[in-house]
Amino acid sequence: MTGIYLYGIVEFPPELSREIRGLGGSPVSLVPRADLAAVVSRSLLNPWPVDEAHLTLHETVVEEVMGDRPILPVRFNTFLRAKESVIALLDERAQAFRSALGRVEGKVEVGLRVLWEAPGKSEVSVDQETWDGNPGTEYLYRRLREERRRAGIRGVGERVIREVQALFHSLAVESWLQRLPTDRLLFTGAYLVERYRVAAFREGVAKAQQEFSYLRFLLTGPWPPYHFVNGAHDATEDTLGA
Amino acid sequence: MQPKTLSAPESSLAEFEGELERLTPALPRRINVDPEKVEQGLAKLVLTLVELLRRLLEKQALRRIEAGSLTPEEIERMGVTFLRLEEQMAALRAHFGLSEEDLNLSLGPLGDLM
Repeated sequence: MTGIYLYGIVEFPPELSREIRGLGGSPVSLVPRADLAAVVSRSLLNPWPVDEAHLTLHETVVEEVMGDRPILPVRFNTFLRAKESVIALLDERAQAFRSALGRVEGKVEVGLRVLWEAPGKSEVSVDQETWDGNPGTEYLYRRLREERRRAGIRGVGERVIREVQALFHSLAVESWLQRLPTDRLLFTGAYLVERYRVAAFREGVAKAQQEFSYLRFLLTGPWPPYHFVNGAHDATEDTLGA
Repeated sequence: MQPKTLSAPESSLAEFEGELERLTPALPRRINVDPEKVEQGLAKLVLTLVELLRRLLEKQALRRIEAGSLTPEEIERMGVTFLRLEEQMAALRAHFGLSEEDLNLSLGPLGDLM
């Protein structure tokens, strides 16, 4: 069964300025409704494989459109049954879409990931509890020591994150941060940046690398503002009732 | 699609890749309908929830130890219970071919369960 594959939401008009091919080679088009439009292509209503080729194609379509105007990117493998469902979505969420489009206009997302070496056991002070040799008591006190050590590492990590973040406050409009998601990742962040300030952000990262020589910085982008459209099109998830 | 690396230390790219792979959500977005794997998928879901409860109860016990509100006998009794529960969980994980990391759960802004 065929239906509609959704790439994003844009302002309307204008029409697309050039021909774009989407997933499965289908032409990408706009489904307009008042001052908004959905960027779509025809597709079988089966999820596309989550691999590099398909993810890249989805991203390429979003970026092609983003070259002309702001876009609210939609997550990979978002489907709607028919054009009527697209129009219903645009009607229902019109105000949220307009507001989100205003939020991201003229801006892009950059991603920053920072690696660190978490402090070793000797660098995080942990009180050595004693136990009386009973297995249950020994187990719980061991867990307590681990908890305290982890809390110590989190404390050190939070302090370093604050210091690094201070360097980027003036370079980004908004930021989203995931703190200490793994032992080696100090944080992974997304920053909403004015297009013309991407170079300045890059210079900021170079400066941070000099200042924090024990950290490793990976800066990627520019991306569509995936982390800054929260709530704008959540309704698309349930459209197929799956 | 334009190249996406704006700035990276050449020596550490492989390290970043390794960490990003660990960030992949542990829970599948859909239950796997492959008959060979559906049992493992369900076991993973159930054991993840059991592990969440076990960890929450254990944290509560640790808080009570820190607050000094448990007698040595109560600590020993609770400790033995948690120890056995952990052993049982390890046995169940082994039975269904799951690792400890398989039972991790992303709690969104709160980070991971473990």
